[in-house]
Amino acid sequence: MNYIRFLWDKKYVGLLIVLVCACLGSVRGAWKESGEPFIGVTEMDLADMENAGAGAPEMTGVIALAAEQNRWLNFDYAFHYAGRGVVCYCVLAAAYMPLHQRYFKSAQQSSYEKRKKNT
Amino acid sequence: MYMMLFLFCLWYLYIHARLIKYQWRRTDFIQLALCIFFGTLTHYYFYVYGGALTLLAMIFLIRRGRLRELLSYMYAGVVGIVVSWICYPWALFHIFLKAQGKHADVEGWSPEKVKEYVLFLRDSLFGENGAGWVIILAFWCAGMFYMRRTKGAEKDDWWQAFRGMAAGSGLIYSLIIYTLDGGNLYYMTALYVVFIVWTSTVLIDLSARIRISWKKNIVRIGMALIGVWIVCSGTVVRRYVSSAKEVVECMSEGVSLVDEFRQTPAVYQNYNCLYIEKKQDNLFHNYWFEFGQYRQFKKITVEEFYRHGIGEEEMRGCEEGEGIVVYAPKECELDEQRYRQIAEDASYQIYEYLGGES
Repeated sequence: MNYIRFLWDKKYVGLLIVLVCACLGSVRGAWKESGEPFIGVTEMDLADMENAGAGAPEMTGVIALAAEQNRWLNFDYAFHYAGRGVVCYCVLAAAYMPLHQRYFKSAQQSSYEKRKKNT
Repeated sequence: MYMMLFLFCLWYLYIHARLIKYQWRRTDFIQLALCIFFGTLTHYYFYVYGGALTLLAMIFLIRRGRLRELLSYMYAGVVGIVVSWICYPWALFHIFLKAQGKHADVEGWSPEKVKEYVLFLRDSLFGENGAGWVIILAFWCAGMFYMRRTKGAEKDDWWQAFRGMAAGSGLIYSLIIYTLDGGNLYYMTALYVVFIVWTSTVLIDLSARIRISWKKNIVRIGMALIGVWIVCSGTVVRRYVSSAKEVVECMSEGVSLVDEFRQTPAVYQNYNCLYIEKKQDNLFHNYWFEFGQYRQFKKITVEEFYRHGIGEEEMRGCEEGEGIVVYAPKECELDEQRYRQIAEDASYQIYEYLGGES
């Protein structure tokens, strides 16, 4: 229970850790998406078609083509990395809690007890 | 996006006015995080202005010993930026990868560049006549003189700190942007926020300190009119006002705001579009939004055009009877018997395909 209470007491630190991990995931997802192949006909495809003696591709709608390019990997990776951030926070809290309680006397009281004392 | 940048810079400045004057509550930190979130998603120059003002705010908080607030302030700022990067991480690529190419040939500062910078500030803020800066400087000196004579305690402290932060952030912003991009009117958007706010504080300060009781309102109204004249005489405000005037005139006369070139897709919306591309350009020479209005779209390179012109292969996918418009660079010549010119702008011409054999 002390551990759960400690996690709740330090929730803002935990939120920061989770958000930073999610941000790293988002950047990684965007980096991966930037390297993904273009959906549709590329300059290389046109050159290959010409070399093969094939005709040029047919017309297509530009807005639909642009919409198809979005894979939203940034959100996908952000969500997964946020989960890792939660685990990271729990592990760090478990490691830090004994140190925190040893060196901060007031930490031996929970934030609920402190608020009750103040009121 | 520059209008939105103006809004978020003004909001950010307002938040910091509250930071200096009051003890912050939780809602203020949430407001800070939200402002940073929306501002960073609007334009990457918000980072420059936000960074300048944040630096000055942190110095203020450290000097006043408000360290708990400093930690909360930094926390809210980091949360705002991080959530912004979660939603749109490509901003980082644009800043550090694409824009690096744009600012690769930055020149150092020299006496000539300092002179150009000062003249640019004078022209854009005060207009070409230059009298406005003399008047506002005189008012500022008068305000400082009266302030020293009637030196108060806390009210003067926070007021002076806010004016210093506003002026300092505007100066730092303008120096950085001038170094990177030179004298570009719309890039200096945050500077105009600061200029309008700072000019207003100078005039309010002076009019509050003048103790001429029977003429007080006349003095204040006179100050307000002078302030409006100073702010509106700058090049940038006159440009915005003339653009707004043009919009109102077009609306009242029922004339389209958009020129003939940009109106073409609305007139030929059931047509297909063939675009001759001069070089690899993902935004299609900024005609991106126009192309979405046509039925279908295709691009060919200018090299392909020079090799075999526009023939059956290029038109493949277009059914018989369907109209075609062609966007061709000005240097490409199309057969007048097969193509009728509809419109042109500085770089491109639009043709309607009339048919016939190549």
